[in-house]
Formats: sequence, structure tokens, C-alpha cells
Amino acid sequence: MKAIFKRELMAYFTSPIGYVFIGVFAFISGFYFNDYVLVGGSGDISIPMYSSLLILVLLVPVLTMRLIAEERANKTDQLLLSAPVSVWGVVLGKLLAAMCVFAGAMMTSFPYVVIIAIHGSPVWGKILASYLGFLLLGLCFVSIGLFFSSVTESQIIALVITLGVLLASFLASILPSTGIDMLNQVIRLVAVTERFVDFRNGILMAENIIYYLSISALFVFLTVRNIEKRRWS
Amino acid sequence: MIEVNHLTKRFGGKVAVDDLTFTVENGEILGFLGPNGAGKSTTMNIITGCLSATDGSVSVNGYDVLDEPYKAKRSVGYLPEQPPLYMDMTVDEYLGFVYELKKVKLSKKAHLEDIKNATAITDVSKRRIKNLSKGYRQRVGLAQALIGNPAVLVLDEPTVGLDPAQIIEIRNVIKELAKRHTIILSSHILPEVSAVCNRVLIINKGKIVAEDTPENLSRKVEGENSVTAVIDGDSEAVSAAISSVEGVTGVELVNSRSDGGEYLIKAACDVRREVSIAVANSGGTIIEMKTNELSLEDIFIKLTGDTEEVKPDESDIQA
Repeated sequence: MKAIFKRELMAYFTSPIGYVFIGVFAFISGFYFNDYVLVGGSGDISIPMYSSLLILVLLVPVLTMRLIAEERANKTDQLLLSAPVSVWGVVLGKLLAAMCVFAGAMMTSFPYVVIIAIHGSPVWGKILASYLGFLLLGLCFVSIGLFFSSVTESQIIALVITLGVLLASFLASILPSTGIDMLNQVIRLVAVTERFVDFRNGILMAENIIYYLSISALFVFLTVRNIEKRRWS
Repeated sequence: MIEVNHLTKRFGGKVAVDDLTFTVENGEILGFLGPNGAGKSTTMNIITGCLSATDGSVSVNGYDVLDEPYKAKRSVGYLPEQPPLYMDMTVDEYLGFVYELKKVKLSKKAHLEDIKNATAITDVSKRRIKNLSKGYRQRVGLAQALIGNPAVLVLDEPTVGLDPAQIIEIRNVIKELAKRHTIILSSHILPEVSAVCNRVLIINKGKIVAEDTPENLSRKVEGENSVTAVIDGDSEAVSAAISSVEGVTGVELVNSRSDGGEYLIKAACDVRREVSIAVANSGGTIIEMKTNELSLEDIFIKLTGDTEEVKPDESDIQA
């Protein structure tokens, strides 16, 4: 797992993907920060963070598309499968590497916290909860992207499917109530970004944390099964 | 060292490997010969744990690949048909990655140096793999398989796509490796297998067609000794002289060239010396003469009597 993690992390930064992901995220989230905090005069960093979620929907697929699809296309998966490592180790190593890049992008917003701390009155509970929520949401997105990268050899197809799924999930969170109770519950279940609202309000609910971790675990599990299934087919 | 028992692999309805049973002894070099699509790569993928069998079992170094996969995989170095290289890494980075991936306990620097020397890639170790030529990539792939000093090497068509000089180089490397490893090597080129292997296994459509030493196999298909000769002289006299040689079963003038006639001579045994004398006595001159290598196709026809399914690539046979 450690070897995979190191290689993946290196691959992000020998190719442009890591730089593009962090750079574009920093640029657009900085734009929001400027808008809401500097110009708007608000000390609440969770507002620009919430706005950045749409950027995540667009950028995470770029981060995850190559993770497994590329191995299959280049037949390097044969090296991993014939090595004395478990498929779980391979998948978790990749997940961790993508999460490191994600966390790197997230950390580009730390200077804003410092600016707010100096010039405003930060509510630390809200800020920390927002960051935790952001990280958990990222874990969810990356796990979903990881899975769709394992269903195809084509990075483009992995990108498009992941984008479609994340976008649908995002749209579900801004859908007005349908009036049908059952349908509302289903929508709430797939609306991954909606749970972030509690975090940004400074509310840490076990339910939400477990929800994010479960979604991530589910997709990591599906990824592992999908790789193993190909062995047996 | 390697035991394959009643191995069967089906992809959907298609049977790729059909009840294959064989063993490879310690220190042996087994050649795996068969046309494209015979099931060579599938069998190798199962031995190395990349694929799971539909039925049957494989054990390597005494460990079943299903029950004790890590121990079995630690004893195997695998070079797939397409070397599993990460193009964006340098050779050193790549070998270092494989070293960590395989959790090798040997001293890293010395071990990797040894391997780079054995495969002659030391001079490209700082270069990115995507910038290497095909021959070097193949050698890096071979180096990767050697990491951790596995007892068994599984090499899937190690010389495919290389130029003749590179083929000879890789062959020499393999011969050198054979002193310390048990090797399974696949190919669809007969001379290649006979050049390096102690024993040959011919498979077709997932089944073993023949299993023997290269010498015995060629003995089995004897009678198919054919010689092509370019002879300057009166064609009737030359043909008559050759026909009179003991063992010759047929002579045919296949082509008239400016420097003589090209004859195809079929015989039951090696008749080159006798033909040479007979031609000289008849007043002809031999310009050139060579034995025709038995093609894989000929062997299959001999061994199976099955002419329909085997359509090997012509260029490959001549390689």
C-alpha cells in the first residue's frame, strides 16, 4: 500500500493533473473568498467553501479518472495483481494519494482563515466543522470517482460518468421538496452535498459523519470487488 | 517447482484453457509453444495470479496460488506480453517502486544494481521509460521480473517485436538467468524455443498437443527434412542426379533464376552431403543450399493432422 501511495502521489505531480487540480481550485475558491469575505465583509469562511462545492463536482473527476483506468489501459495492472499485495492495499493506496492532493487543494484556503482571524472575529467551531465536512465530502467524491475509474479502460469515460453522478447528486441537494415523503427521503440519501450544510453551520452530527464514511466505504468496497471480479470473469 | 493440475479457464462460453496438466521441475526451462490464441498467456496469467482459474489448481514452489497467494506470488517474477511499465517514471524510480511493491528484503541498492547489470540497463537508469526504445523497455520489464530473486520466472513472449540483434541479446540474458531460475517461456517461434529450452510444451486451443525435448520433437516430425538449393546446370540432369540419392523423396524445380534453378528437395533424412556430390558428378554447380526450418505450422500439421485452425503469422515464422 505504501509503495502504491508513493507512486500515485508522484504521478500526480509528474503529470499536470495535480497542479491543475490544486491551481484551478485555489483560483476559483479564491475568487469566492474575495467576493464574500473581502468585498462582502463577512467573517464566515463557510460561505465561500459552500460555493466551492460545485468546483469540486467539476474537478474531482479529473483527479480520479486515471487512478485505475490507466492501469488497465497500460496493462500495468498485471504487475499489481501478480505482486504479493492485496487488492485492498492497492485501492486504499490510490485513494489515499488522491485524498492527499485533495487536502493540498483544501489547504490553499488556510491563508483566508488567517486573514479572518486577524481582521475579523472567527467562530472557530464553525471553521473546524466546515473543514471536517469538506474533507469528508471530498472523501466521498474521490471514492465515487475511484469506483468509476475501475469500470472502464478509458479515462474519458471514467471522467464523464463521475462528473454525471456527482452533478446529479449535487442537483439533488438543491431540488425543491417534492411533497412525496418517500421520494424526499431517497433524494436526501443521494444528495451527498446537502449534508455539508450541517457542517458549515458548525453542527457535528454523528449521522452525517457516518453517512459520509459509509458512502466512501461502499464505493471503495465496490472498487475492490470490481477489480477482483475481472479476475474471475 | 510448478504444478498445474487439470487447469481450465472459460471466458463466458469460450474455453481458453482446457484441462491442462503439466509440471516444471526445479531449474528447468520450459518452452510454451502455440499459435496466437492457443491459451499461452491465459495459462501464464493464472500461474502468476493475475487471473483465476475456472477449475483446477496451480501451485508454485509448493504454495497453491489460491490458498497462499502471497507466498506463491513472492516466488514468481512475471514479464507479461506487454511489459507493465509506467511511462512517466525513470528506470530507477520504476525499479524502486517494484522493489517496494514486492516487499523485498534484500539490500535495495546492491540488489537493483545487480539486476541492472544483468539486464544491461545501467546506462539508461536515469531516463524516463517513455523515452526508451522497445528493446530497452523489454529489458526493463525483464529487470522488474527479477526483483526479489524469485525462484520462478514466467516470461510471456519476451522477444516479440524486437529486432534480430535485440532478440539475440534477450535470449542470451535468458540463458544466463536459467542458471539460477526455473523459467517458463512462451513463444510462437520454434527456433527460439529450441534455442533456450530443455523441454517444449506445444498447446493448441487450450490443450497440450505435444510435450517433449526440442530434439525429440524434431525427431518426431522427421521426414519433413526439406532443402532448398540453387543449382546451375542442366535441369534434367541435375534433377535425375538428385533423385538418385538415397533418401530423397522428391525434387521439384520451383523457380528459374539468372544464377541457376531453385530446387526444393524433400528427403527422409539429412541428404545435403550426398546431394552435393551427386550434383557435382552430374556436371552441375551448387550456388547455395539451405535446410528449410520446420515451421510451427508444419509441426502442427504433423502432430495434429489439423490444418484448418493454425494460421500463424508468416513474418513471425521467418523471424
